[in-house]
Amino acid sequence: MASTATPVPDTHQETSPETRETKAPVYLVIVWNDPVNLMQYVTHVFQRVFGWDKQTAEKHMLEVHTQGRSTVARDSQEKAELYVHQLQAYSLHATMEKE
Amino acid sequence: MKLLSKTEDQFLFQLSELEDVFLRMTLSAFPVGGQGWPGGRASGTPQAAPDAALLAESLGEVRRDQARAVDSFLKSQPPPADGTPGRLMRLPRGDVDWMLQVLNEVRVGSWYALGCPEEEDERKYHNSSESVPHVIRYDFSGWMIAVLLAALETP
Repeated sequence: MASTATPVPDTHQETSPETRETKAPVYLVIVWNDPVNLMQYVTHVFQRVFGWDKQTAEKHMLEVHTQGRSTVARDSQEKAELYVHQLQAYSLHATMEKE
Repeated sequence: MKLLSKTEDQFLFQLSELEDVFLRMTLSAFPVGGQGWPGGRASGTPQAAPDAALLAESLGEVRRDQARAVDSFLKSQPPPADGTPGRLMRLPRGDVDWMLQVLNEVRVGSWYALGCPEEEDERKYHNSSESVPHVIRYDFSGWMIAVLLAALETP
């Protein structure tokens, strides 16, 4: 009865056409390291743009500094574009990509 | 540059004569332009790019507003008191954020003008009569950003 032991495809995980149409894609906003922006300035920008406390802002700033990049937001395309625009107005190197 | 007082509404700084000259030199250069991080996205996902033209247009609008704010700010500063070296600088709290953006635009733009040196030493060793104004603006804007951020955190 091996065939009965084979997992049955979970139909609940299938995406219906209706769901496919309504589920908006998710975008990641990424801030990249650069040799010119000051660390405390980057922390300040994160606090302003995302409303983070200093500890969270510093964590992401250090991630940018040590790992070269940090994902700072995961949101709709519209919101991600707004974040990229705001970060670039502060002259940070920010990009977005589809998740 | 010394923070003399801080209220709910504004900061009051004392600038030396040289600091006043450098500040005006730095702000007057805005927008330096020339910079532009790759506005795009990570490789392989070009579809995720916000419309570059729209982004540039929107940023241009922001910079024009900031240029007007710089102009208005410079005209609104009190003249130096007779016999007193330097100048007082009043900075309303609501102006701190655009001031930081403006200073950093000048810093990043000056860095581009210097050829995007990766290392501090590289930038210093390439001084020339042409690069000196960029070096001054780069250094002064960075110093000024640090002073403003420290003032924000001062109780």
